[in-house]
Amino acid sequence: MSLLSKLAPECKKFNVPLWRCPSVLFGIMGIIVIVAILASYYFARSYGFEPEIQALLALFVAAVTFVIGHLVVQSFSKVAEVSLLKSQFLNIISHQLLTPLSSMKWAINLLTADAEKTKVSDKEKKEFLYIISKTNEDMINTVNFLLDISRIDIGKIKLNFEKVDPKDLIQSIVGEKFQDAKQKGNFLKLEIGDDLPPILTDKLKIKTILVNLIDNAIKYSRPKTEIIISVKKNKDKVMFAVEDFGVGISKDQKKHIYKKFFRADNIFRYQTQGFGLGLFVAKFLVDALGGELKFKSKENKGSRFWFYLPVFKNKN
Amino acid sequence: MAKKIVFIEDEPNLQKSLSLALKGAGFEVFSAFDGQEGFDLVLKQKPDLVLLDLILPKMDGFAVLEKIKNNEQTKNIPVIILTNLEEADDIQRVVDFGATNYLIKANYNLDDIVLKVKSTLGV
Repeated sequence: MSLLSKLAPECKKFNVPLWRCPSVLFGIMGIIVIVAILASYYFARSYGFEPEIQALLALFVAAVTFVIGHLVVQSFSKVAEVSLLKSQFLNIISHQLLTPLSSMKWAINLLTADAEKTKVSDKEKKEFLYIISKTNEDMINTVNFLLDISRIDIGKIKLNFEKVDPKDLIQSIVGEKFQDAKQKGNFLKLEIGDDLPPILTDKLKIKTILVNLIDNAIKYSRPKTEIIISVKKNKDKVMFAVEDFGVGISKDQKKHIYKKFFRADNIFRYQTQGFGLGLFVAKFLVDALGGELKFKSKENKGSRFWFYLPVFKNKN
Repeated sequence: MAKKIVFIEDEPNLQKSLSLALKGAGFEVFSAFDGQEGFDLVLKQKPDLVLLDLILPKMDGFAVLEKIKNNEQTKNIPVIILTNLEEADDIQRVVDFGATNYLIKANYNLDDIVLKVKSTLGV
C-alpha cells in the first residue's frame, strides 16, 4: 500500500485500484513497449533477417504496441478521472450537508436544554427556531438542485413554458440575493432596459440559471466591488447578463468551465465551497430554453456571462 | 475569574449557538469569523483555549493553528479543532501541528463539546 501511495498518491487517496491508476498504467505500458521491441529484435535476429528488416520490424512493433497501449491507458484514465471526480464530489456534498445539519443540531440542543442551565432567553429561542427553519429550507433547495442534476443526467428534465415579465423576474431574484451579496461586502446593481417585452420561458429554470450566475459572481468577486445584473431588449430577443469584477477565469481554464464538477483553482481550496455544478446546470438550462450561454473573462479583472431568450409572441 | 475562550468559526449560526452554550457554562467567549481576525484575537486576548474551524475565509484553520503554535506567546494555548472535514490527511496534519483535540461538529452535541472544553482546561 505504501508503494501505491508513493507511486500514485491521488489514486491512493481516492481508492482507485492499482490496475486502473493512470500513472501506474503509463509505467506498465512503457515496460511492455520496451519488451516488445527487444523481443521482436531477437526474434528477427534468430531467424537471420537482414539488419534493415530487424530494425524495421522493431520499429513497427514499437509503433503498434505504443498506439494500442496508449488507447488502453487513455480509456482507463477516463474511468479513473470520473471515479476521482465522483469521490471529490461526494466529499463536497457531504460537507455541504454536514454544515447545515450541524447548525440545526446545535440549535435544537439549545432549545431542548434545561433553560436554567443555558440561560437562553425567549427571544433567543425564537431566533434559533428561525435558524432551524431557514437552514431546513436551504437544505431542501440543495437537495432539489442535486435532483435537477440527476434529471439532466438521465435526460428527464421537464420544461413549462409560459409568458414571463423579465423585469418582475429579475427584480425578485436580485431581491432574494441582495443580502447574500451584502454579507460578502458586494453590491448588486440592477440595470433594466426600456420597453422590455415579455419572454416565453420556464420561470423556475430561468431563476435557477440566474441564481447560479449571481452566486458565482458573489463567490468570485473581490470585496467591495459591485456585481452588475442587466436585462435589455435586443431586436426580437431579451438579453440577461451578470458581470463581476473578481478573480476571473484563466486562459487554460476557460474550456473547462461548463464541465461537470469543475471549480476554478485560482481560488484557494479552503476558501470557497461549491459543487462545481453551477455553470454546468446553467449552460444546460439556457440551451434547453432555446438560448446560448456566453462569457467573457479576464484573469484578475472579472467575468461577464450573458444569454438571449426569445420574446413572447401572441399566436393569433 | 472566568476562563477565556477564542472561538473561530465563520458560520454565524454555529458561532451563535456554541458561544451561548459556553457562556452558559461560565466561560468568557470571544468570537472571530475569519482566520486573520481569529489569530489577531488570540494574540490580543491570550485565551486559555482556542476553538478552531478549518475552512475559514482569509486564512484557513491550518494556517491559524501553525501561527499559534509557532508564536512564543501563544504556543502553549490548547487548540481544539471543530470541523466537518473527516479526511485522515487533514486530521494527521493538525495533529502534527500540535492540536489538542479534533472534533467533528456534526457528531457532537453542544453539551459534549462543553464537556471536552472543561476536561481540556481541567475545570
